[in-house]
Amino acid sequence: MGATTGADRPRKKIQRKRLPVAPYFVALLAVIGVLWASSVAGAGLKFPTPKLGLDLQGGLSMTLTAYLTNSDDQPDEETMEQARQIIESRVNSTGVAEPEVYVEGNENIVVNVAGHDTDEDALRDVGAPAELRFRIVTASTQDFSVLEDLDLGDGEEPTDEATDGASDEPTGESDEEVGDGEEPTDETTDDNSGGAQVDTENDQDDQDQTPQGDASIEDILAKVGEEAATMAQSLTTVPTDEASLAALEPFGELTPEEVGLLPASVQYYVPTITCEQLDARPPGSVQEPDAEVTACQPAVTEDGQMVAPPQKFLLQSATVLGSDVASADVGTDQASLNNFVVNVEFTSAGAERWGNLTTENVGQNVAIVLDNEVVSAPTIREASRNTTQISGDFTADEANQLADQLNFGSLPISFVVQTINDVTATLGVVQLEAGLLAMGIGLALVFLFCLVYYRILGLVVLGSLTTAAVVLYPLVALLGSQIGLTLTLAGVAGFVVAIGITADSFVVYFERIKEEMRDGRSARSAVPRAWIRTRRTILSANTVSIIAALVLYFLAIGPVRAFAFALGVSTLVNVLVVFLFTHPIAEWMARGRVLSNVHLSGLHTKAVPAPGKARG
Amino acid sequence: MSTHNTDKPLSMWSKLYRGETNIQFVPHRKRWYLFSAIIIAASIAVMIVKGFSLGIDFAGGNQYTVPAEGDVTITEVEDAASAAGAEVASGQIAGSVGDQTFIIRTATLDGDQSQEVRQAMAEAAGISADDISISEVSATWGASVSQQALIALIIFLILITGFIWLRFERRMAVAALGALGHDLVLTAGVFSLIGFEITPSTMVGMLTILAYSLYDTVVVFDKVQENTANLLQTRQRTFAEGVNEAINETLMRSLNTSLIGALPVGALLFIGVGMLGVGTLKDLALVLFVGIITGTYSSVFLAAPWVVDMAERSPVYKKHNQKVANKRSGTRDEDDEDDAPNAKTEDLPIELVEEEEEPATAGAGSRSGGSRQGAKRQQQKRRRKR
Repeated sequence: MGATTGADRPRKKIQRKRLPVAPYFVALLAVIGVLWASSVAGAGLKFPTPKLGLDLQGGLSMTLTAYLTNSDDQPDEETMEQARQIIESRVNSTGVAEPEVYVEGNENIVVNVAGHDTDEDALRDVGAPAELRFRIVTASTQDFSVLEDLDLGDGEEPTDEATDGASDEPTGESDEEVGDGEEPTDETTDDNSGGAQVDTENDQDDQDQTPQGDASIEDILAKVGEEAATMAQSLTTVPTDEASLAALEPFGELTPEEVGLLPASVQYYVPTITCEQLDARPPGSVQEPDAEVTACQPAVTEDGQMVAPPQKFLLQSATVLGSDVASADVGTDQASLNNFVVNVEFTSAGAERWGNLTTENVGQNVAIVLDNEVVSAPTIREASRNTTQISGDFTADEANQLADQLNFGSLPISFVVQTINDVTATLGVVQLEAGLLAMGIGLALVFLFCLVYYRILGLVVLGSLTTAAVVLYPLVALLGSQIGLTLTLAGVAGFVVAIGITADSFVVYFERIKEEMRDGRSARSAVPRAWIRTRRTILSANTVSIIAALVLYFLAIGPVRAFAFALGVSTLVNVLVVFLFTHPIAEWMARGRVLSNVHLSGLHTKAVPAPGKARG
Repeated sequence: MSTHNTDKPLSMWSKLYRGETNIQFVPHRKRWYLFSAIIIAASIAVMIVKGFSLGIDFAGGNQYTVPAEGDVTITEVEDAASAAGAEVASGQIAGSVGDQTFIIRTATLDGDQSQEVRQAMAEAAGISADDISISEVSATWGASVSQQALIALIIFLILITGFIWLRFERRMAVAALGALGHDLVLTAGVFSLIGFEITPSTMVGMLTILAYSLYDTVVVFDKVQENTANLLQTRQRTFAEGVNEAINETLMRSLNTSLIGALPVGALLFIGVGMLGVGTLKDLALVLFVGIITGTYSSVFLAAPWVVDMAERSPVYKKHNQKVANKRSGTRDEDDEDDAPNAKTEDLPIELVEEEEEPATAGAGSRSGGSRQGAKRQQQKRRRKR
């Protein structure tokens, strides 16, 4: 290794290993292009904007009020906190948006989500009790209101109905026909009082009182009229003849709350009680496991066409409950991949009960009841134990939501949605503007510093940071539109700090170059050598950040999770920019004379390297 | 240990710029330890005495619902509340135009204060105080969030210790964790001292500091490892001297990085305090500002010297220190020290290096694993280049 060979060799080597920079820039442009294209597509062919958090752009605010059967009771603090946490988990499970969920007063839970384009129905579902019950089906029939529509359409429908279970007409039917003449008068008066009742209900709603009237079954039966009441209570099949329908018509005017108080058999056998009424019953109406209940399965529609009308079910008491579910996840139907199903695994006690239920009722239908609605009612083909599959007419989102609800458990108490309002940002515009101004000034100072300190390399820093911003912006916008990543002010500040950490990669690199040149190398040989060492440092240090991001993302919840996401994204962008932009551009610059000029580069090459001092 | 004798003495700035400073980080480490111990003790004392003021997100507070009538703005109502002594946490306008209400949340107030604030708001809004409803609101940052975050942090720390252990060595893993703890305690102490509120933003700020502190320590350790990789094979320098040199060489990097990180945050802090007085921004910026500075400080002044302390307890390094001392006392006259401090093992034939490595390895066991791997890597690199 004489000094003579040492002088020639490196130059040859560099010549040979000269890094082709073009592919890097092409790759970088491709990445930027893909990101911008997809974020523009994600934003609906508009200029993509990141999804801003509650503090910056406001959003929707939903107030849920606890609904207790006994209106004098107040839910205790612990129950409310438990409910708050479950609701928070549900909101959080949909992404890394940063919702605000808090208890207001004694019986309200407020859910604030960022953005005004949030789906209101989805937000409402967040407050659903998510009580799951498995009940054996006693009888089922089509919803009367649909039959009525079909009746008007074509007269063939009643035959259908007859087969549905009302083949033998009760003898009491003719008696009831007599009362038919009196019915209209009753109905009109009832109608008025019913209307008044509804108004009161609404008023109560507005005063954030739990809408629980003092109405008892007797009052309701009195309201529909004695005849209709007696008839309804004696029904054992669903009547279809017009006379009985007319006689029972007052039931159609009852409020959902009132319907909920009627015995399950009345709810089922009275055809004038529609699924619309049943579905709107107060939360928890069919929750009692030991009671017989009536519930509806919503109509199945395909491409806007109703392929199956709503079904009314009379259901036995439930032995298998939501608390028997150990875990739930989303899968697809084996037959058709477009059908999403929820796979349910039972706890050991649950498996026991489920096993008994299915063994005893082979050939019968079991209804899977979630809150007030029947999700599906499959026939039990054979006894099963540990798992089951819930298949409804689910979209992927609905299936996910159901799985989440089962996993996070049911709410300890029921809630009704009181209000859904638009709310403005929590931070004033002043704060935001001042924050942005400050960050702008800060970044300008960084640029100034880099230009003074690194001179021409400062421009590389500038270019790299700009590239980082150009990559980061569409990425954040894309994630905002796809997985609901919201950018709060804290998040913006976090990204600014991330820029500092990004800049560190350049600092490490340039300091290395300086060091190599101080040892007597030319820019041409110093830059590639410095890169080899820098790469190691950058990868080690960024591994730390990536581990932090992954662990916090998968284990933490709420704001911590959003932080982890921002950290991970900015670290990846950092590595990307250093590898695809900073390094190639430094290599490229090293080929010219710019870096060899002390005044331009600020890099001092030792004039006379002492013999033996140059490193290996 | 001045290694580069140039014709004219360089100014401090030039030395710093060229990475040629010779600041005695390691030899004077006891001073920094003492300094840090005092600061940490003070931080803990402040935390115990003053405690923390929890923001509305952690402690809950009051919510005032003010119907908006006429052309009163939410800012006026907020200002009135502030003037009456309430700490306004957030103000939102709910509802659509024409039917708006202001929802203003404040820190918890006792009954009388709460009524005063209500009265002040009513006057500002031009309505009767009875129209304003007051309710208590709970924390939004539930116990479960903290609990999950804690679990995540513990797992993260275990993983990161494993990573540093594998990538560097055990001593560095311990030192990095120590430096991290130092940074978090100090930042929390400053926070408590100034009396800023604990909010989700500041919690996120603490996490940012956690990531930054480890990141910075790893960068410094990377340099230390590189500089001391072949140290045991020669008798030129002790481990402590090698580490000190590494810190000096990377000093400019440390300064630059913290400066670049702290500049935007500093601007945020001073503008936040100067222009706005209150708010999320100021708290967040303070956490980040203090954290970045201590993060850099602890890597250089604490973490690296700790590694030296731990290393010097092992027999391998003790023996090596003895060898260096022997060499210096024995050969001082004929062989000038300045001649070859940088002449690393590269200048020696490979065979010699490997022979020398053996005894060191035997004594070191797993402890010198990190540096041995480093040495091998260096050798391989050298072979490739030849």
